[in-house]
Amino acid sequence: MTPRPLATPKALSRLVASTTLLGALVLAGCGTQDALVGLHPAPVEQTAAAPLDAEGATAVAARLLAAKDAAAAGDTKAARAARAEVLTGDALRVADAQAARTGAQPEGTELAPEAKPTIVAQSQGRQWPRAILASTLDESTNTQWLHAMISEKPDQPFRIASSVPMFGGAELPALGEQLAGAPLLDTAQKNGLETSPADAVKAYAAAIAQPKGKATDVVAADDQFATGLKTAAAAQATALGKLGTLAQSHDPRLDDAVTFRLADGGAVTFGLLKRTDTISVKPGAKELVLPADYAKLVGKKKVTKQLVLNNLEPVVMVLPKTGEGRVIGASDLLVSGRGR
Amino acid sequence: MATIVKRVVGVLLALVGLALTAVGVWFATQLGTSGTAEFAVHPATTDPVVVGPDVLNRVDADVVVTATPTEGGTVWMALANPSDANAVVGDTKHVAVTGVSVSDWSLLTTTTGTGAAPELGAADLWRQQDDAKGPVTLTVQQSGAPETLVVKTDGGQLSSLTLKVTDKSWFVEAVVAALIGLFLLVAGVVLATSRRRHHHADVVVPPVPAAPAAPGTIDPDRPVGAEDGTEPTVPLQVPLDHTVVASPLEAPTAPDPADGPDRLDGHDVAADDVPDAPAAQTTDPHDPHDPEELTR
Repeated sequence: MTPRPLATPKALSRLVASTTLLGALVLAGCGTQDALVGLHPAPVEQTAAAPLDAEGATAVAARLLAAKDAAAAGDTKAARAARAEVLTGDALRVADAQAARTGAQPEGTELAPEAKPTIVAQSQGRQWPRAILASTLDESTNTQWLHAMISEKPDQPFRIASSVPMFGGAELPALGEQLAGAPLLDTAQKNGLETSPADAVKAYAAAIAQPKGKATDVVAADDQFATGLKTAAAAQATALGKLGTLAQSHDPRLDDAVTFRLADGGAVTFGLLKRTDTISVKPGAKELVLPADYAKLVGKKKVTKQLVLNNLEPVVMVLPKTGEGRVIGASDLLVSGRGR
Repeated sequence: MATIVKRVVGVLLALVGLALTAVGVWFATQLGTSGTAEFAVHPATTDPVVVGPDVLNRVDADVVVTATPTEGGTVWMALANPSDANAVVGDTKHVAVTGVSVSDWSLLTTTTGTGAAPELGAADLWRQQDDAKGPVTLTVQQSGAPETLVVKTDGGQLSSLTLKVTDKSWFVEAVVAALIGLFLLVAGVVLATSRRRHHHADVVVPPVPAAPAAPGTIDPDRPVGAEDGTEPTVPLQVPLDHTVVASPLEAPTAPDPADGPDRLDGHDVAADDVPDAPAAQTTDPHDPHDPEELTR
C-alpha cells in the first residue's frame, strides 16, 4: 500500500489561512481594540501659548476692573485688605498712597476707570508669573487706559499691577497673536534690545529732571508728559521768582515693573517713577505761604526753608528693537509732602 | 493529519467565536442602544480629586462628569490646562483618577502627595468651573482637549464621581462583534464536528488479459494503413463483461474515481479492501481526500 502524503499543498494552504484568521482575531482582541472603539491617545498640551483663552482673560480683566471700585470702600484696614485683593505692585502702591492722602477713593477717578476691557495680550507659556495686558476706553475723557495684570503663583489670582492712561495719539505696537501670547521679559535685561527697559526708564527719568535734565538718545523726552512737567516747572519757577527755587527729580522704582515682548522684537514696559519736587526758600524770602492743597498735605500753611512734595508717576514706555524709545502713557499723583 | 488540524482549528474558531459572542452581547446589554458607558468611583475623601486628559480626552465624544458630595456638603469642580492643574495641586495630597475598568465600570484611582491643598478656587487658571451644594455636573468637550478636571468638596466628603461617555457606535460594534462571534462559533463547530468524508479507494486496474488480435481488429504490431492509408478500419470491439480491458492503444490508467456510478466495476470499494496493487497497477498520485479530486 502506498503511504498517503501527510499534507497536500491545499491542506497546507487551508492551515495557513486558518492560522492567519486566528491570528487576526487575536490581534483584533489585543492591539487594535482601542482603534476599533475609537480610543486614541490624549492630545499633547501646547505649552508655548497664552495660558487663558480670550474669553477667560476678558473675564479676569472685567472682574478685576469692576472690583477696583469696591476695593475702595470700607474702613482703612478693610479697604487696604480689599485693595490688596485686587491690586498689586505699582497699582497697589499708588492706590494706598492716594487712600492715605484722600481717604476712601471715590468712584470715577483715574484709578478706577470703568469700561469693558479689551485683551491686548497675555504672557506666553505655562510658567509663572503670568500677565494680561488689557485696555479700556474712558468715554468721559476719551482716554485709552492700559492695564497690566499679574498672577505671581499658580494658586494666586490675577491682580492689577499697573493702570496707565495713554497720551492722545500715542500708539502701542502689536504684541502678536493673542492666543500665542507675548513673552514676559526681565525688565533689567537687554532681551536683544540696544538698552534694557530698566536703563531706558532711568534715562528717561534723568532726562525730564528740572531745571536741567540729562540728555539721552535712548528715549525721547518730548512727549506730552515730559513737556507738561517742563512747562509746569517753568511756570512755578517764574511764580516763585526771587522767593525760591524749584528742583524736580524722578527716581525709577522698577521692582514691580512688567515688560512684554512686542511682535517686532521690541518691548513695552510698565514702570513707576517717584517724583520729588523740592522748593527751597531763598534767603531773601521770609516764608512761603502754601496753597490750600499743599497746606493740607504738609500740615502747615507756610514754610520758611523748604517744601518737599512727592508724586508717584506710573509710566508706559515702548522700546523698539533698534532706535529711540518713547513713553506712550503716564500719570502723576501727589501723594505726600513735608515742609519746614 | 489534516483532519486533526481541521478539528483543532474548528475548536479554536468555536472558542474564539463563543468568546466574541459573549463579549459582544455583554457590551451590548451594558452599553444599551444609546452606547453609554458610565464609570464611577466612591472616593469618600475631602482631598482634591484630579482627572487627567488620559481619562477625559481619549475619546471623541463629550464626557459628562458628575460629582456628588455627602449630605450637606458643597462640591466645586473645574477644568484647566493639565500643566496648570498640576501646578496648582502640586504635591499636595490628592486622589488621581488613573484610568477606567470596563469589567466593573469603575474609575481607577490612586492617592498621592502630602499636605493640604491650597485654595483652588482662587486661582485664575480655570477654563470652566462650577460649584453647588449637592451634585455638580460638568461637560468636558473634546474641542478643549487636553484638559484636567479637579474636584474638591467643602463641608463633607466626595461621595461619588461618575464619568459618562455616549458613543452610539459602541452599541453597533458590540452587536457586530456578537454576530461575528456567532458566525465563527458556528463555523468552528461545523469544522470540528464534520466527519471524515468517505471517498473512493484507490482504484486498481486489473491486469490486462492478453487479447489476441481478432480478425477485423487492428493489430498493434502492425502499422495502421501501412500501405497507403486507404485501407478500411474496423471499429474496436469493447468487451461487455464487467472487467476492464485496457486498450492496447493506451497506457493503462485508473478510472476516474469521481465517476462513481459510471465505475466499470459498479462497486464501492473500501480502502482497506483494496488488495495490494501489482506493479503494473497504477495509484492515483493525488490526495484521495481532496474533494476536487473526488469530483473531477
